[in-house]
Amino acid sequence: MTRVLLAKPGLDGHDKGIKVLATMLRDAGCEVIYTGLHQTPTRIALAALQEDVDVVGLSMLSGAHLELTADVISELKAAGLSDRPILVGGNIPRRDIPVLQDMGVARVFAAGTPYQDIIAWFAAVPGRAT
Amino acid sequence: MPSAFSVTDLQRVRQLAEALSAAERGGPTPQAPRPPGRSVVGIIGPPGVGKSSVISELAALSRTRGESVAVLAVDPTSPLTGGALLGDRVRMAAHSEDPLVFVRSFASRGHPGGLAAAIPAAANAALALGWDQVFVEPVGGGQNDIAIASCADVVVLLLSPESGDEIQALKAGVLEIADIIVINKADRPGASSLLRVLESAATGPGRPRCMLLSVTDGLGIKELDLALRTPRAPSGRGRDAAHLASVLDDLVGQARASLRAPKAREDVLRLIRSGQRSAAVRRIVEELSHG
Ligand SMILES: Nc1nc2c(ncn2[C@@H]2O[C@H](COP(=O)(O)OP(=O)(O)O)[C@@H](O)[C@H]2O)c(=O)[nH]1
Ligand SMILES: [Mg+2]
Repeated sequence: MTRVLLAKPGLDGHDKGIKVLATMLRDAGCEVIYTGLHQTPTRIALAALQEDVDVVGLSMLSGAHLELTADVISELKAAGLSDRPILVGGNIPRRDIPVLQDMGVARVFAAGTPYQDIIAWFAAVPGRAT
Repeated sequence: MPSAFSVTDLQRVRQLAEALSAAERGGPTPQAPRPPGRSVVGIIGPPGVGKSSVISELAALSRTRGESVAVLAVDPTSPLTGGALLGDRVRMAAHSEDPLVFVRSFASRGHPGGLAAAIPAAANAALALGWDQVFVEPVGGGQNDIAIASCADVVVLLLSPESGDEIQALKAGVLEIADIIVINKADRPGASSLLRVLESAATGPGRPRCMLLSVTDGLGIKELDLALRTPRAPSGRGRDAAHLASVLDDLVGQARASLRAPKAREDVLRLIRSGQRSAAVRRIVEELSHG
């Protein structure tokens, strides 16, 4: 049973995409925790800790994805959750993908990625050792 | 970037997070005799009635007293896919940077009765680990909520002015286990008349207290908070789990028996076929009370 936290850090107010993804992941058998708009890195880390999720998915359309992702990663680390894979989706320019991967992001799904590819990634998430 | 949280708080949160995950796996969890003055409050009621919103308000009052709060919220697992959408955190955003308001979303994972199998162990673990106040929000629904009575010290039934139609069906089981009945969304028309109906329906010893509330207008929350903290006389029939279970079995048996009458059975099946489930429930209730 994969538990996923889906969060939208930053200021953009478009949650249609992340809501569609949430529904698709549910239909793919995941337990999806959605936290609403305008999440800060601190809130995301606290939610991930309280919910004990297996994966943290971030959706960002605002252009501040590098900064926000770095902050989320450092907050997750402070919360002792460095072992949880992080996914990033949204408006991510091609050149930023390797930068995000160097930070430790497990996978980047740039805008336009077919949902099927995302679902397939989740299907392959190894269960966390318990 | 240093963490926004103190090491002590993070440790407490992690400890509870691990205990709740152990409860979900069915593994061993911290247990201790329930400390005095601490309680598990169950908030039940139909979907969208405001359960999460009310819990968020009550948690805020607990925090002003310096109490730590654990919220265990259950949403349904899809029987087809095994997946679940857990959205109760959205309504508790006011506390999303407060480590001592701990919110865990549970999927029901096929467990009947509106709870997840892990909830009783999870609630006890939270108290054993020193969390002061535990709120449980079961899956929203009518008679499915009976399971909460066995793990909560106090059960609050939330209704809204729109719930009028559901009362007939609810009467059978849920009104019996509620210690307090709250009509939320009292900012909308119809709240006071519903209150009068409920007050006249809830009679006898150990009858639930009925009150009005509006999260939107900030009315009635302090009163509910106070009612939750006021020790009640043990309300006999409602809180006695064994008795409850037998009443429930009895009611279900009666409902089944009432459907042996061909006319009633035909009516109910016709209503179900045409998609009128709540009318079907009312028809069963009618058969129970007059048949
Ligand atoms: N008008 C009004 N709306 C409310 C009140 N309390 C909650 N709501 C709204 O009712 C909806 C459902 O609330 P939620 O707490 O998620 O309900 P739950 O499904 O029972 O947990 C939300 O849109 C809330 O903003 C209230 O007192 N008055
Ligand atoms: Mg809710």
